Amino acid sequence: MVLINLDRCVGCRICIPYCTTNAIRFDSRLGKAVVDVEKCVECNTCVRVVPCPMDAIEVSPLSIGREVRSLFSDPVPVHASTGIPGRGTEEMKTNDVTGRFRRGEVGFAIDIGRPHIGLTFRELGRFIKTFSEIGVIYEKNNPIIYLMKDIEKGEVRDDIGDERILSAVLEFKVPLERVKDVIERLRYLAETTDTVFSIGVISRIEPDGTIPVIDVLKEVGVEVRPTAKVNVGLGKPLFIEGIE
Amino acid sequence: MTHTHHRRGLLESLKEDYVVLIMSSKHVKYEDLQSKFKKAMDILAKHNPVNLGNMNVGNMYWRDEVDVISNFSEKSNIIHGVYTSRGDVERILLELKEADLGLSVVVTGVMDDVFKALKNVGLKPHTVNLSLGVWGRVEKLPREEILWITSMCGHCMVSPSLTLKMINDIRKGKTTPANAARELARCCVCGVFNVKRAEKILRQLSKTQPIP
Repeated sequence: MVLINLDRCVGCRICIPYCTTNAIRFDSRLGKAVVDVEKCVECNTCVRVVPCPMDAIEVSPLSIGREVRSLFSDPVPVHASTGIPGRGTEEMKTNDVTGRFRRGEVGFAIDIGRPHIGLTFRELGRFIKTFSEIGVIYEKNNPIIYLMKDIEKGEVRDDIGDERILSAVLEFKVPLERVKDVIERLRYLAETTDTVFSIGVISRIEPDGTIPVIDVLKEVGVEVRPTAKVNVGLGKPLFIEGIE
Repeated sequence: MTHTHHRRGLLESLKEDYVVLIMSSKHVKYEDLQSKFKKAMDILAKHNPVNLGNMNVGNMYWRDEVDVISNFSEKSNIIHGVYTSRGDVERILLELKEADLGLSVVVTGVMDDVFKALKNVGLKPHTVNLSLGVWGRVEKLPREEILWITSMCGHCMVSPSLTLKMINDIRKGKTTPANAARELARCCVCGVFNVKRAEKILRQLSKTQPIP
């Protein structure tokens, strides 16, 4: 757990603005910086980059709850389930070799809590329940899946429900014709959640360069932003649909 | 990288912001992965990167650049280069295509520009991840100009408070836009933070009214 060694801290306040969740504050009674453990998500940014003149920022061993916070807030640790650092999976980044998303399918990467607001696992459970109700196909390697007690009901493990994290990426796919159902659920969640979420929509690109899901999104009044991630198809062996 | 397509800003500014990611898949067995990544990183490093990142090490503003460009695992790697011009991205793609390393390559940027770059080097886009932006309690977000900067670290390791401090420090003459951008870049572990674009935005914001 991240903490400030009060014997070393001289109260210079250099560390305070680096905190990603405003969990470090100046305690005027002590004349030193202190960490609010409820707000701290164990992202370790302060440990990595704060130029503390007294080396007063320290890390103590993590409890299970704090470790889970760190896994979903610090991009450095490698998740056992994904084999890669970060909160998501290989997603569409290796789709040229994995074929995870095929023609006629649409992937969603719902980045809950980002940017900057964060969430609890209990709130994550509410998102999962909302999408389980419409029968989406979850990405089985996503670390979130391992923390659920009952994915259909959106119930998270009892010991982590109230833990606060910077974000979690909920990944699933649906057939193109079910995209409208997903958008309806996203609109409901936007109205009822206490946090924010960023939405990524994943699609194969047709040989003629078109992206069918864009028309569906337009139809339901959803704006697609100008920026995108594009897998350029250089991975080998190239996954070829129909002969796997 | 999961979040690079959610970068925010004015269109003309976003058009000067490209991230090239190269990664291996845990589902594929590669031979001599370290040397493949060394070749890939050499290509990224050759074409005017404004940032380089290696998930085994960190970014070039926080870690020793030599480690960033040379320390690779035989199991799996993810590397990034950040660029401000389409021309550099085209040259990189052309070299990666010729090198035929078999690694997956993902380019983030303004979609139309990325497609033009691919067309110019004879590549066809395979899969796209579109951004629908941020939904939910958006009123809780920092103000938009701060997000122009902080959204360049998708993992939200660049704090709005530090960004604001940097703008105010530039205004007071305590630092320069270039130094402020580098300090913010240290926080973004993966190395996808566009230092040149940040410098430009910081300079611009430091000349406007103080941000509360």
